[in-house]
Formats: sequence, structure tokens, C-alpha cells
Amino acid sequence: MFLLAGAGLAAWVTGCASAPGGASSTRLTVDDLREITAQMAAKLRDSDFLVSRTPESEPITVAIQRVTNMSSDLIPQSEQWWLMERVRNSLPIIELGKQRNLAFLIPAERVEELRQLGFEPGLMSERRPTHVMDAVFRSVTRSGGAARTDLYMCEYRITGIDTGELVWADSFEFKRAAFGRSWD
Amino acid sequence: MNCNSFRPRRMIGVGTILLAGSMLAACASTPPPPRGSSGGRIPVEASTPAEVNDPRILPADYLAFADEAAQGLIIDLPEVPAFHDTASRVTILYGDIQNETGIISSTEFAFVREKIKNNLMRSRTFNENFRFLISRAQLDELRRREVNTPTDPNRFDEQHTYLLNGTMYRINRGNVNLYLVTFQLVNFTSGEVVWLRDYESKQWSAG
Repeated sequence: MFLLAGAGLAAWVTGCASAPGGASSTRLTVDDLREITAQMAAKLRDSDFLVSRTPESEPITVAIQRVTNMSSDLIPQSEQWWLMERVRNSLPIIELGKQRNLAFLIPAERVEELRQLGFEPGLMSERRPTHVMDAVFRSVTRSGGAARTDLYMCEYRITGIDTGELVWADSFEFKRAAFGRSWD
Repeated sequence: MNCNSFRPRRMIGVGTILLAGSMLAACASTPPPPRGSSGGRIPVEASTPAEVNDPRILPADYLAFADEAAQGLIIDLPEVPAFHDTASRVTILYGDIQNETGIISSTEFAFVREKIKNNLMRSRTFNENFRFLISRAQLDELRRREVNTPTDPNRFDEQHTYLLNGTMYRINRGNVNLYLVTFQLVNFTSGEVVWLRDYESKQWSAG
């Protein structure tokens, strides 16, 4: 009986305390970041850009760059890479190579880091990206009294580096609303 | 004897169950806080107290305008002769954003422009007739980092290229703000406005 009461008390304290919707901040949450990457990976997988490609299509090699953050939230550099790599990792890399004639390359920033480790000059000498995949996060902020709302737009895109043509671009939008003292 | 000693224990037991039950019931019956005012991820079309008390354009209006502008360009496509005088796809470059509102950051209009572009790029009809290029400065930077070779100066046909420009104005009277937002396609070489969509939004704020 006392165990049951204890369990009930625990559920009361922890369950109620973590009830959703009680945010006092519009900062991007872990769940937001997971949802963004899941949504964008699905959009890229289903895009005309990828679906229309065949093994006979002209080969393309895509280098990724980290997120450019133009939103009101602070996104550390490591999370900017996380947001790109999670989308890339969600794609079937082997199938993309075989069925879509598309390969991913390691980012230019990583190449530079490897070079600084003192490898031979031939390191990455055959690396020739034809496209770059990057992302831009933006937000629109509204505030009044103790309330604040941020509309986030997380845009991912693939750009050809010969002419600068955007061959794929899509975005995921959502709002976060907060009420309280710690919204800034 | 046994009954007397059992009763208090049973009452304690029943009380314990009732207490636990009331705690769980209290938890389960606690209504979730209103989604618009107290936090959480909410639909983009939902309005919130923060937005209502702000004199600037409602964020949901931005998205509605972006949807309307993108659909408008697809619908108007057959009606614009300039878009059919070319054997290849028409090129669109981002032009500038003239922001005369005084109280809204130009980044918000860049937000709308990106949303229009993304809506357009989801359309097969659009992709068969147009292409977006990033700016020369952006491409120079990208090529410097990735391939370290200069950008081809003839990367697009200037005669069949259009700038996507935006202008934003505000008329203010007391607590009333009337906004006019216009996006237009302007020929790269002649400056002719070949297509436009505008949007009016009236905001009243108590503050």
C-alpha cells in the first residue's frame, strides 16, 4: 500500500512537473532539433531532385557545410554540424551511390583540420565537390508583456557550385510560444 | 480481536489508495496550459498573446502571403510573355529589399522571400521554367572554400534573368499600422517590372 502511495506521489511530482506546454523560453529544444532533421531528411528523400536521378545521371558529389544561424536562438557550432550530419546520415548513402549516382564528401572545414595534422600533400587531392548542402535557420520574434513567440524557419538547400543554381531547397516552420520571466 | 486490529489497518490501506488515486487523478485531470500562451511548439497559423500585443505584421500573415505569392506566380506564368521568349529556363536572382517600415527588421522580409522561393521550388511547373541562382558574392565565397577557382562571369543569360525585389512600407496613425509589402520580378538588363504581388496588412496594438 505504501509502495503504491509512494509511486503515486512520484507520478504526481514528476509527471505534473514535466507536463508539456509550460515553457518559459522559446529556445529550440532537443525535440525541435530532432523533428527538424527528421522532417528535412524526409523532404530531401522525396524531392524531385533525388527521385528523378538514376544510375545514368551525371554524377554529383555533395559537400556539407554547417548551419548558418540567423535566428534569435543561440546554436553552438557543434549543434550546427549535428543538424547537418543527422540529415545526411538519415539518407541511404550506399543506395544513393548506386541508384542516384550521388556521393557525399567530407566538409571543407574537416579537410583543413586534417591537413593541419601533417598528412602527405596528396590528402584529399581528388576531392571535387559539384554541389554544397547547407542550411539557414531564421526566426521572427514577437513579444508583448511577459509573452514571447518565435516563428522558426529551418531551410536546407543544395547548390551547384558551377553556376550557383539552387537544385533543391525546402524548409520546415514551427512556432514556439513562451510566457514567463526567462524568455530572453 | 483480530477484527479490531484489522479495521484500522484496512482504513489506512483504503486511505492510502484514495490518497494515491487523488494524486494521480489530480495529475491526470490537470488541464494542459493553453498552448498559445504558455509555451511549447505550436502550429504556425496559431496566433499568440505576444503577437496580438505587437504592432508588427503577424508572422502567420507572412506565411499566408508567401503561399499566395508563390501560387500567384505559377498561375500567372502563361500570361507573362517575357517568360516564354527563351529556349532555356528563366533565371531568378535575389535583388534587394527596400524596407521603409521603420520598426520591422529586413531579416523578416528575407524570411518571406525564402519562404516564397521554397514554395516555388516545390512546384514541378516552376522548376521546368525557372531556376534560382545564389548571388555572385555567395558563389565566390563558396567556390573559394570548396574548389578555389573563380566564378564563371557568364554563368547566366542576362537578357533572361530577373531580380526578385521586395519593398515594404508602413503608414502609422496612433496605434494603427497599415503595411504594404510588394515582391516583384524585374528584368536584369532593362529594369522592366514583369510581375508583382503585393499584400496589405493592418495591425492595431493596444500597447
